[in-house]
Amino acid sequence: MFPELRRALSASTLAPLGILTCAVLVAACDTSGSGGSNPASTPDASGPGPTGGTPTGGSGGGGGPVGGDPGTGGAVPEGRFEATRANLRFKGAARIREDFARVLQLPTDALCSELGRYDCIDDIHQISLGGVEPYRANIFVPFPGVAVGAPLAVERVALAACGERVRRDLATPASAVFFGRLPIEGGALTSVDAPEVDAALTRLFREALLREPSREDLAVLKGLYADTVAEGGADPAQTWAQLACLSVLTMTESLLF
Amino acid sequence: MNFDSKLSRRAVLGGFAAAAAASALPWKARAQQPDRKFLIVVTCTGGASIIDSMLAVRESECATPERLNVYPDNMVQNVEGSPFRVIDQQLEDIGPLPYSGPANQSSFVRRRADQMCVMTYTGTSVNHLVAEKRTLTGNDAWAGRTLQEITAAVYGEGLALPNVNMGVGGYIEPGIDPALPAWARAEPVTNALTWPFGLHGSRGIRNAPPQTLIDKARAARGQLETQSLFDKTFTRSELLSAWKSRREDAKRVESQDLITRLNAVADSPQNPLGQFGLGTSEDAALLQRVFPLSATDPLEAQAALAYLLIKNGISVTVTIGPSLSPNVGGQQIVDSPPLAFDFSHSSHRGAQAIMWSRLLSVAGRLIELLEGVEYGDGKSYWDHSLMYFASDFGRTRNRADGAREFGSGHHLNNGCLIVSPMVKGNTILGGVDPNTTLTYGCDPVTGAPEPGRNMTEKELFSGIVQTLGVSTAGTGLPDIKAMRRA
Repeated sequence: MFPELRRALSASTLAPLGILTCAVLVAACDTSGSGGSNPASTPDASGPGPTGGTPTGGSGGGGGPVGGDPGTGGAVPEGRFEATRANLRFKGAARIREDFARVLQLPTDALCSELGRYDCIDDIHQISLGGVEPYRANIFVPFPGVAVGAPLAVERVALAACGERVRRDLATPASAVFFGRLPIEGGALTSVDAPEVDAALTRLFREALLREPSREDLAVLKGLYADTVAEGGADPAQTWAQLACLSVLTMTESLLF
Repeated sequence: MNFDSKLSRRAVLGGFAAAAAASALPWKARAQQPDRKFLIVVTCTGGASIIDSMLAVRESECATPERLNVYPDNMVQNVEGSPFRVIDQQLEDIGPLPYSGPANQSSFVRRRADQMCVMTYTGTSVNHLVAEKRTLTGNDAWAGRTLQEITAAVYGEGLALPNVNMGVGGYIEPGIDPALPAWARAEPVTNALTWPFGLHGSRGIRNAPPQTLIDKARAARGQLETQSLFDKTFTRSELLSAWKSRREDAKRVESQDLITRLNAVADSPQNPLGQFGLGTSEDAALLQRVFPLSATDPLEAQAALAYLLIKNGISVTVTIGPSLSPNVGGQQIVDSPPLAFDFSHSSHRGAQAIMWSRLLSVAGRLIELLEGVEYGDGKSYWDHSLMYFASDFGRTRNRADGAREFGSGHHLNNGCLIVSPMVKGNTILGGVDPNTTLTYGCDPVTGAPEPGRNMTEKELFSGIVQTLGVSTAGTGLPDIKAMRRA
């Protein structure tokens, strides 16, 4: 089951939350690495971390199939592994702060600030993001449901944080986390199909979602580059990297557990 | 501190013209507005005592004045033409806290008496959080919905943020009816000044890509999620559906440019909006004149935001009120005590006086602003509004040896203030026994006082809902006809 996931789990500095999330996922849907969109055989990501995985599993890790699933990597009918309980939780302000900081390898105070002064999560969007404010507002438990401002606040934090990560990666490639090896000339990628692009996106997926990207995933994000170029702005590579990061960090898979 | 002293009536009236001009729409557009009603909840956090305001008792009226919370005769003023009483006083402190200045109730009551109804009631809890919530749900009188949720569900469909709640504690807790539409639930706000900055996904973020590309990235995210094993696995998750639904709601918020229209913060070196591509509401200058302390007084900032939310057609119900934090260093060492009305534990009369004065002053200015903007058919937004001063509970009545200042505890018995052109004005539904200072109720249809009867949270709740024009047929709620203007 999910050999890539197991490797990622063992290689990452995961919070207990991430382990729990993945454990639930693996238990709930042992797809033997298929799940309807098999992970692509991806190139090595730059920097430390797991190497690209193989597309199928079934024998990696000693755990047998769950719930009668054959776990052979064969074709899996769409929707077969729906979780019947589907008991998800929103990560909330504190976990998002820590997760984004871990994924992007940024200090928490460098993630996002409004007007350059107010910490986005702690000072501004705490309650919208399901946080608490016991001292001033007497809010002891997170607000149930999803605030209208929550998706917007998440995007603001992710957009600012991703922008900072990309800026640092391109400014100092030697210490880059994701995008330091992008083939850039004149602000644009020399080729969106370059292996360095796949490597950057693969590393982003591993850190943010603790899994490999599928071929389809990579294709979607590469397609976003074409849109970025078509927009005609300067430095499309940098803009695209920020947008790709935003897309992945704000996926439901990244925000719910 | 006298809040009114910071703002001349001329300034407020001058602001009306500016607001009306700035917000003027063609008459036909106004006339086509749906017949909405607006509910403004002003939370009397900590417990506002009705016998320290409109139902104050004079010492000469009480058999044991030295043992009960009654006031020297000359402090209790009648308001001509109304049954209400007021207490204006010059404070020299708030118990142990340094403070000096007038505390005023008469300005508001004299101006609004014909739109004021005080309803006595006896609650069911003296726990702050529990009581606060019950004063909004009528102790689960209608499927556990709050007054704000009912108002939003009836009048707010299609609006960007029908129900915005800036309260604290039990006042911001949601109801418990799972059948309530998600869009009618409250949007929580803890900082009225900075909350609007979160009403757009990218504007104001330095070096953010253009909106067209943000939209492309969102579309790419949607594709990734469609392919994601996670989304396939948890496709039945209510939270997953709710999150995606809220994204669509958020787009509506973005498209209405609420990050600008609800922002009352002016561009300044401290808040360099322009540097971040942000703008300010067209009413910012007006609001700065009407609520000049909004930068340092959260209550004034809340009132400014409430005005923008209602006037701009964003919300049909807004909840404002003081938090538990003190205001310090704005005009005086202490501008407002910690715990709001609940500082009465240390200084009953000082806390009640300053908090009543603060709330009435801010509420009065908000009402006058809403009065200055036409809603439709020649009526103002205020003509369609009801303001409910919701209190946790009352306060204990006893004092020792006629003490001028003393501490008080929590008491179930109280009364609350409702202000609206839709209520029967100059009305007290019930009364107060001067020998106990406990309130008693009334006939809910005729309003005739009935000593020995206590009105309930449910009756209070029902009266407000019905005054807002919401049908309660089939709910089992009693008809509180006495509250409504004929």
